[in-house]
Amino acid sequence: MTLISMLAELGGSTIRMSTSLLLGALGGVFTARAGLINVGLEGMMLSGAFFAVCGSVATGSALLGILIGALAGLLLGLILAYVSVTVGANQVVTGTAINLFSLGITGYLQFVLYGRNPPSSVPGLQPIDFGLLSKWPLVGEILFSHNALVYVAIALSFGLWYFFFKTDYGLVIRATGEHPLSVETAGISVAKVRYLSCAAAGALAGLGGAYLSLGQVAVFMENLTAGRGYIALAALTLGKWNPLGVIGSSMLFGAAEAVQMRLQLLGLGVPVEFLQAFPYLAAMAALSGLVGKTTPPAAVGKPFLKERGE
Amino acid sequence: VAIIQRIRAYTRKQDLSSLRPVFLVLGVLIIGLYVSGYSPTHAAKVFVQGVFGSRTGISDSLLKLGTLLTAGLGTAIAFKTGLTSLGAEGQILVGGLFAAVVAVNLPNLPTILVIVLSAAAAFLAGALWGAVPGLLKAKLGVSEVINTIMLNYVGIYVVNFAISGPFKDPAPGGFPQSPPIPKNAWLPIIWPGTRLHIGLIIGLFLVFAYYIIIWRLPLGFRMRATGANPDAARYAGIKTERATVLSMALSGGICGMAGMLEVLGLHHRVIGSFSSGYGYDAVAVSLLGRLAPLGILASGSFFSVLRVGVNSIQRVMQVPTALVYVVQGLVILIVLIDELRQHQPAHLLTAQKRGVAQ
Repeated sequence: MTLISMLAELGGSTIRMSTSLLLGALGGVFTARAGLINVGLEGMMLSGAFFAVCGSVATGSALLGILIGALAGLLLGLILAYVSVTVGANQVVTGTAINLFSLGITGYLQFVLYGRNPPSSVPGLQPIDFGLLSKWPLVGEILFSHNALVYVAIALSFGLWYFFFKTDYGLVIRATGEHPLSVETAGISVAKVRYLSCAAAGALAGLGGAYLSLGQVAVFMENLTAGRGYIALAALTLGKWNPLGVIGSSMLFGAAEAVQMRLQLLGLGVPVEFLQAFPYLAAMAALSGLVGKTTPPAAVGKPFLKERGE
Repeated sequence: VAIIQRIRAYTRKQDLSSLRPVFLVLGVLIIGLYVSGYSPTHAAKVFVQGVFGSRTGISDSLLKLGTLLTAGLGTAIAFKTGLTSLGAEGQILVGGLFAAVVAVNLPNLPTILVIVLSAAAAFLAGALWGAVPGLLKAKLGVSEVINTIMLNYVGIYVVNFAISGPFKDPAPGGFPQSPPIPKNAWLPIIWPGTRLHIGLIIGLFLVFAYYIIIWRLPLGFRMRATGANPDAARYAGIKTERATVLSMALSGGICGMAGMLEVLGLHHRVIGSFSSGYGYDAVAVSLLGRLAPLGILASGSFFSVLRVGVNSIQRVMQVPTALVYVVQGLVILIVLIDELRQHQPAHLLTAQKRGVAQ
């Protein structure tokens, strides 16, 4: 294998690996900016992945499957909103419960619906044909060999950057994460902002899961996400809760995953488990390397109790 | 007299309400089973039979209680210090692994000595797994939530590496598992004829030890102060960074010992997924027990009965194993909702420590 073709493959797979992380992290931007810790990203992605496959099999359309996956994530987002906003419970524990529930319900329904043999021919997403561009050596394989969701994810990052930093709605969400009392004082319901943010976060994470199951492997296996939601959470922090920042951090973690898989195939005699652990250690190292340079939105993690005004 | 009456009324109300989530969970479970084509009445019978119908059911519940108490109390120590540690799963895994390494390599020592040495190894391994996120939190301000989760995955791969590489059973067959634990290191059985070992006694002892450490020792006071208000604690001269690292190490070490209980007491070797999610149950047990010793004892009992019952539903009725996770997730959600809807938001459950946001 030549160096060029190896680079092309690594570059292409970096982008494939980072897309689900990017979508998950974009979801995380919504919840973090609205002042919530969203550990439930993992479960929202997992449910998105499963229900996208279900929807795709049932309707025969990958597009509808993706929408159903996003809807599943959205519903879990609303559960997070109810338990952590309306009830005011610990957000991390709520997220953990959502993850356990998703892990269970997807595995359970997989068995109940499809038995021991999961559907093998799932209508998946096909790469877009850019004509000549796709045949461009190196660049073509890295940039123009992907399905539509990859480009949607990048476009969403830019769109959301504009939304969060240039529109009034974005300002309201950011204010909710920094100082909810002032938002409430201005006559805007903090709870409403947080509900909507949770719904958006869930839908985006569900989309990330749908990309995994319909875009990458065209099959669902129990615990398909295997911690990618948590990596997306790390990418969110590393990308400083900024929709453009998370493009970079998702690429970094996507590259770690791509390199790891490439090295497994090469069989360098390094134990597989070391390579598998690498992306997680890379995430820890990347976060530690920031040395206090990041400050999350001030109100992250604190339930807002209107009566007490805190 | 009026005060006594009010206290009575309050406790009575609590007694009734504490059972509500149990019924809610059972209700959801029954509907779920019915919708997916299993008979709920049969399931209920199997559940009760599975837990209380035999010596095995009762002893297995007590067996799980020992492990859950240990891991739940370990997790509670971190939460008491205001640290949201989700790392019990990884700590259990490495603790079990290192306990096994010690036990396998010391086949000729007297039982009590091997067990003490194995427990020490498990404690140290778990403590290391906890101390690293603690240090990163204290020195660099990195959120312990993400780091403890990341280390869970690293723990899984460390165990997989060990049992398919340097610590693989040399016997032919080729399963990725460790060599068997020599009989001299098996935890002694306390109920003859069952699998119930001293893990239950260790767990119950830890309930007492947890109370002493957190409420009676200066170290515990420093931890609680750090958890309640780090700024005030620092102002009062408490070294909050040191309390953070110590708490995470102690928490991880105790969770590591839960891993030892599973390996030396039950499986008698290290297999791939020997923890089966105890680390996540531990979070639920400690928080639903409101981080109080007796509360943790109660919620630990509830979860161990639930686990045994749901396992027997799954086994007898051929329901997929994933059902256990559905129930765990639902239980946590429902109890969170119920607790807080019923009472004033108890700050233990809402306890979103300032530390998390920093």
